[in-house]
Amino acid sequence: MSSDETPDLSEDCTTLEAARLLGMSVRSVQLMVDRGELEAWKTPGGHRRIARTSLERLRASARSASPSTRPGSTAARSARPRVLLIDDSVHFQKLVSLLMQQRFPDVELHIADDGIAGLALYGQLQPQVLIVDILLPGIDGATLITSLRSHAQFAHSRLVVVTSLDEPQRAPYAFALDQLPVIHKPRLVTELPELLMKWLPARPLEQGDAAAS
Amino acid sequence: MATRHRELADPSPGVRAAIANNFDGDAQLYLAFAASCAAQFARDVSAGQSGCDAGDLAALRGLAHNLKSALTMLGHDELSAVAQKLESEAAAGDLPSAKASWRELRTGLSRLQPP
Repeated sequence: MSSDETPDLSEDCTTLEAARLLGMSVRSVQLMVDRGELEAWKTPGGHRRIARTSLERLRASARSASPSTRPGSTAARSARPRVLLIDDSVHFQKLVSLLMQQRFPDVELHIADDGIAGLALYGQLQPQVLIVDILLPGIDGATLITSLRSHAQFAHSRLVVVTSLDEPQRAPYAFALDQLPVIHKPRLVTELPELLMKWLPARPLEQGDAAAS
Repeated sequence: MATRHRELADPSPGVRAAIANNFDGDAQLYLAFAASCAAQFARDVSAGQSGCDAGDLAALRGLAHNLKSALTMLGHDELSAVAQKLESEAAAGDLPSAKASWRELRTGLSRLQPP
């Protein structure tokens, strides 16, 4: 069955089928089941069976993700460098927006409020840089990262993780954070621009340029 | 980098330290962020009160988690500690303590003055 076909909601489906429908890895779907993010039950043999209604809710959430892109940018790809921020904190969405306007005005910033919307926007935008929070509604950031890394197209993107969790609190997510830069949110202004300057082709403004213009 | 405080007439020591440590000395960016937070805090208080009234520990935990970092960035370390306490209590399922911490956090947020 193609992912665009309407599934039979009266049946449950296997983990493999759910992974195909969601465009995710089997492991990511298993983790979502284990965390209760997908409604499921187990067969006597221990195999997960996932409710199609639960899958459809997730897919509907992904389809409605596009409006999360902020004014001033579009989901259509342009020649400008694209950065996708996936973070449910309005405070940090605003902070990253301010920082980008001030120091990287040539960059398109797109914002998703949760992991499902972020996954959908990632597919549409193919951003050069992804900024992902760990704790997200929907699919959490660690699962999102694991899923993205399983896609070949992800090889064209850079990823930085931002989090309010301190190092001991990050331990349960170590499997997803391996070899990724992680910025503690209070250090975001001091550490994120340096990474973006390395990764993005646009010339960043020096501090004060924006104020002087 | 030299810290720029031109836009702040008389920043408190906490705000001065936050600008230097968390905003790379950029007082202008601090002010813009503080203004955006002030508007959002009002919405946070409303959401938090709804969560508290409903006994929704997951909502209180998520809100406290986000507020914790925003308050730290702004230099409101004591209030950030209250948010952290609320997050821990909500995670532990301790509704009475979480409600008490929410009231403390709500009062603190409502008393914050723009720098």
